Amino acid sequence: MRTDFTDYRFRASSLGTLMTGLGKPKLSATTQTELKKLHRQEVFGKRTDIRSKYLDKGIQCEELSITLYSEVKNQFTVNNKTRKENDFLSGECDNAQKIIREFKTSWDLSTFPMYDEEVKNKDYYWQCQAYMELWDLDEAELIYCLVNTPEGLIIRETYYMENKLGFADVGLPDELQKEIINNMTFDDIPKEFRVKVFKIPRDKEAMRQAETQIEMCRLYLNELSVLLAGELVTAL
Amino acid sequence: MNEVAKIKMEKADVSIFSTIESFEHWQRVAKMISSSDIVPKAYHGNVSNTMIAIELANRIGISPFMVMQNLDVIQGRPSWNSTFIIAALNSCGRFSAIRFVFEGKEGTDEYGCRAVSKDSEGLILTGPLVNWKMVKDEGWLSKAGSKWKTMPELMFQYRAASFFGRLYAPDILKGMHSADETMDIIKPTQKENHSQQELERLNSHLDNCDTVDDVEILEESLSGQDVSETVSKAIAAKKSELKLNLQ
Repeated sequence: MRTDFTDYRFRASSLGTLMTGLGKPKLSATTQTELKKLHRQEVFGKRTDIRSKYLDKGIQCEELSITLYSEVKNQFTVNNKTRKENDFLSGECDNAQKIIREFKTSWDLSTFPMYDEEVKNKDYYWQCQAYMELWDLDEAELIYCLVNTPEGLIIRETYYMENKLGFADVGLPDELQKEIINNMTFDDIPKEFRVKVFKIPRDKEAMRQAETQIEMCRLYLNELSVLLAGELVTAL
Repeated sequence: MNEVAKIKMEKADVSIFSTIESFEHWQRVAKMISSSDIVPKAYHGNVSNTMIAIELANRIGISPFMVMQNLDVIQGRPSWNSTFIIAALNSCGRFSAIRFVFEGKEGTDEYGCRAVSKDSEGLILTGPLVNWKMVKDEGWLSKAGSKWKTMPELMFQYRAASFFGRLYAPDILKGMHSADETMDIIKPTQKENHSQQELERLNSHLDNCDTVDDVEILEESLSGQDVSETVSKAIAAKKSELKLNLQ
């Protein structure tokens, strides 16, 4: 149980959620909400990790995505196993061979940023900045990969569709089943089209601002601890 | 049933593989059963699997169809459905219906479950405790697609029943594990799986290396990385091979 957040190190992957209203003297309402969530988790030891099919695919297909990237870019890429931390952050990037590489596995073609020209998700931008800071590297690649969905997840999707469309007792019609499989497998799309790389340069100035924001976040977390302690005293 | 058939049935009760006659007879039965559309996929059109199911059914005294419905073949290992194990233990007549007792504080490593029953003399039979510590230490939780992450309560009960069965009624399970258990044992851990894919990736890159320089470039790209011993060895071996070719 943690109640003192004076030296709390934020996870690189959560940094983005704390950065709304960066540079302002007061934390934004969004950031405060995120911090309350974090405080609850840390104080009571209950993680409210969001489980979703998107996350499941990301976890299960991480290596497949790295392999796809390695093939397309002709670059042998290893999965980083080292966790690093500094005074503000901690994190474990996917790869740090000369540059930071962060892999994201898209759920399907509609969520794959094929035509995007810049990173749309600011959280990923900050995640990469955090890793560059931790590994002291000047460049990062945010890499989206489109790989086949594992069989287990296809079965889960089929099961979900059966229930949603009222085929729970008889099973999906063949045509619909084939459509689901077709939409969740991508061997028919050339590999080169299934890897999208966004280059992100290191922004040291932004990181200094982020560190100031982290200090404010720590203070706020401690305020929440005081608030909670006050509740306890009142109750006693 | 005529006398010959009766004799064959009696022999089959011992083992369908015990005599040529018995084997031939049950082979014919297996052919018939396996050609049915309603047998599970692993047995449909597969006389050998069906013969094994019949042999097992004879040994434990249930219908072959029940065995086929409840015996999964996972990567070549026959494994019972957990629900079947519970049903078999409950109906064997040796114990009262199995109950599951949860212990420890939820959210801690000590939280877990054990199967409990009473024998015919009223003595309490307590199965081994399966708790989060065991689940983590055995690496069941970290398996890719592990059901322990999504349905822990159910998995605790299934595993506790399986342990109980192996302890108090090994003759019913015939030494076989439950399907969930086999999945946990057989499926490589995510980490092992990752290492395997990494190695495959490396081999494909090494195949494209024609000179020692190529390998050294690849080696250089890994400087400062925490690479596994297997990766280092594979690179060294390729280098040696190319050097030898040069000589």
